[in-house]
Amino acid sequence: MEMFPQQFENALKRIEDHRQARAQEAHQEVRQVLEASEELKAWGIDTVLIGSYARHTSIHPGRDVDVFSKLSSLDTDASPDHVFSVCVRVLTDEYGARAEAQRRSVKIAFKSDHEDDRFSVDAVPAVKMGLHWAIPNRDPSAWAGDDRWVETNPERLTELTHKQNRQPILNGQGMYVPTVKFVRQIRRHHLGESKPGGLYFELLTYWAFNAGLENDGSFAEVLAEVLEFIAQRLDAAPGDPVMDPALNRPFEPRPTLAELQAAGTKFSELARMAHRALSEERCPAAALWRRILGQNRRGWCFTLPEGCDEQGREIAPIAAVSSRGPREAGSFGSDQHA
Amino acid sequence: MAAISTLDRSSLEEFQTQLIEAGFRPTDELQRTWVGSTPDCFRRFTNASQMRLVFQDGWPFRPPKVFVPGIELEHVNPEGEVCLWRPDDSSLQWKALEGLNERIEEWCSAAPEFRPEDAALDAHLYFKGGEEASILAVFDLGSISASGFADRRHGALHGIRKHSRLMELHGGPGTSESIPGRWYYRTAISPPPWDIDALEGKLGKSQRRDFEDLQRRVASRPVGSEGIVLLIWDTGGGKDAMAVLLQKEQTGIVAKPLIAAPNDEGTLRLRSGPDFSMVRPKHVVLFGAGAIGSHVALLLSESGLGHLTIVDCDLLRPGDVVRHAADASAVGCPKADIVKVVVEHSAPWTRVESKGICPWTLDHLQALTQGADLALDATGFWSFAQHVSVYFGQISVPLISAALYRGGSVARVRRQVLEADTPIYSRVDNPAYPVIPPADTDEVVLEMGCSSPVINAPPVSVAAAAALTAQVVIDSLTSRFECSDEVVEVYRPLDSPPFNKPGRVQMTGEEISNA
Repeated sequence: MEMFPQQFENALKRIEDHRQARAQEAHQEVRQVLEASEELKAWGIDTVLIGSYARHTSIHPGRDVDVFSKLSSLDTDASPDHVFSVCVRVLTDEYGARAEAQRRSVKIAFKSDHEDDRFSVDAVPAVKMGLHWAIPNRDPSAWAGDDRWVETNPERLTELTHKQNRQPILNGQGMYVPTVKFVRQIRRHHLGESKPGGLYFELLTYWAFNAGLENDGSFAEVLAEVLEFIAQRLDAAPGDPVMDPALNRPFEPRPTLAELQAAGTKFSELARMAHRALSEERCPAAALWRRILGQNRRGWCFTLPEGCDEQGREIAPIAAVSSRGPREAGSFGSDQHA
Repeated sequence: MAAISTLDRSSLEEFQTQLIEAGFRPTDELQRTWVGSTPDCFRRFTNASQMRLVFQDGWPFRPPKVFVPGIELEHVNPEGEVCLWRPDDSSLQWKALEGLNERIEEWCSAAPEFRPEDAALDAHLYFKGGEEASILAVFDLGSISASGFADRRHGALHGIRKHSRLMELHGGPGTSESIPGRWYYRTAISPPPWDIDALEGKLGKSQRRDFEDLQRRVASRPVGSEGIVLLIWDTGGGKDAMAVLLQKEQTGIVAKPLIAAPNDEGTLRLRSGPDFSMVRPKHVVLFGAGAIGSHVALLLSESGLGHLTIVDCDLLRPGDVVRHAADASAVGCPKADIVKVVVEHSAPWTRVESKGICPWTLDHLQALTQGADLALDATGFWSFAQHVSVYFGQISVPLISAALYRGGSVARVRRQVLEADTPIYSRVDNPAYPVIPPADTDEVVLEMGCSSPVINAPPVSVAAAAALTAQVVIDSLTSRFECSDEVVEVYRPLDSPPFNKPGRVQMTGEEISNA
């Protein structure tokens, strides 16, 4: 049974979001802008990076960086309309056209010459709601009613993620966060823009780890097990919704039945492929993992092992024999014809 | 654009993973082009913060191309491609990012003053559009400026279009039919110019005025008119040159690089091997300008032979062309004459005489070999070989005789040069020189209307026998005598030893060994 430690290590490098450091820098910059506002300061402004960048579970190509703007002096009695409009003003004063009001957050564009380096910071205001926090309802027309604030606790999920990543360990590093990245990549490759999204699958992975793993000696075994858990959970989800562990309530917004069925069918197939990969010969197994992990803009995430082709056949490891060419006299010829 | 063609996708993906780790990213869906930070050492030569890496088909045997904008040095073309490896490099140093970075460091250490032996880019490749250049500009620098370049720094030249891909450049103004041009000589140019403005910038004051005058002349003529510039400069290893064609178009003058291709003796000699100087003063008389003889004549001349007399009384027949150095256009010509023409085309330094005679008389043989360094029998006739062996032995003319046997299965080259060499005529029944066994069946066929038998020896055997013969002749002319006095090459094994194994057998006169 081939576990492909090198290929999974390479896959992580290929899935890794290289903008993690830039996300931190952007957060610091936005934080300074918000904290410079006397009005927000009076509301007890404190910002924290949340979302996949905070949990280190973002994958390439990354998306928005979420900045949670905690206003500790305000609670749900405050008007979302007023709170939000102050945030919009502060940020548009600083960033001009780069800052754009969304339904309940302010998007600030960070430009770059290259598409991969462009990203946005999404700053969302939050007020106290008991032990948790609340953010404005996604629908501004509800801001006058009882549902004007929606409960959330993104920091708790970050804490749970760090905790979940403590065990099991492979080569000195937690296996949970890398597995979330693999699952997010698999979801993005096979489901694309369809729902459920990356966070839903991250939670499914969380519950898979929470349930305990049979074999945790390699990413190949863990991933096969997690994919099987996800497939089963997607099947059961219409009647037994997936819980948000930070809030102890079903994940919102809930995926539709059709979305769950489509995702369930795909992930059942992927789980079967993963289990087959565990029992196949080296090259066919590599081809299966390659199909499971799919591609991103950097190419195939699961790199081919030496001596295997993309179809899973064994080939002569021609140039892989040594890292350097022969130390012999140069031959007679010209590359002009090539 | 197509996906990168490779027989080793595993190592390609491994390398690309290393690129990702180093902060590079692909710019196309097929991951052929990647951009990343310019290594620090390149920053000495450019302000560009980003470099581009383009994978070529044929990974890992061909290195990725490295492009860094803004470096104006030798070994960098106008597109910014940095020439890191020779095309024939077999190191595979680029297979790991560490190796690529190592090579970049080596390149930076050598820059900006590269060693002469580092010269790798043809001059036209420095000029914009050089990659697409497809017209050869052929010239002899000696004829461009008859008085050399010590006193004169510029002068007139003209171009003659021989066909769509070839233009000959000659010194002087030429005629109204030819393309007017100017040559300019500089003692040093580094790097070569990338466009016409840069070219002008490399010129001296009076050269610049002269160049502007040429541009005005081309500009004043109708659309389609042309002019030629030949920029010549000294390098550590001699001279280099860049030829540029100026073309008048509707929008103005457009400069197109030509592929400079000198045709002087010095340039041709670069491909004649290291024995040129030793072979140059020698005179060889070749008897037999047939299949083997014509190729040997060509090989010896190309290797530097100074004087060749070709003796053959036969005419070239259509069937001969299959294995002869001459082509079908020469059918009907005397073989000696046509081989002379073929030799003169390839080796201008060889003085060639052709003699359309059948030299069986002693007077003829003596007259033909008077003062010659060596006589070479490539007639393939046992009777002639015996005849000249006896006679040249008497008058002390060194002799080498070559022939193919058994339908081209075996080639034998016999030498009668040194005193210790056994005379060819006395090798019959000498156990030190094994007899090539005859075939059970007749291998000879007769061609219609031809009195000579035809041996259907394969052209490959003919070429191999010619190469072996030329090697033995040069071995004698250079007095190295590394070959024994009889060398046999077996191309297809026969039944009996020592001819039963493919390869070379050197007869030592005493014992037989397989080399």
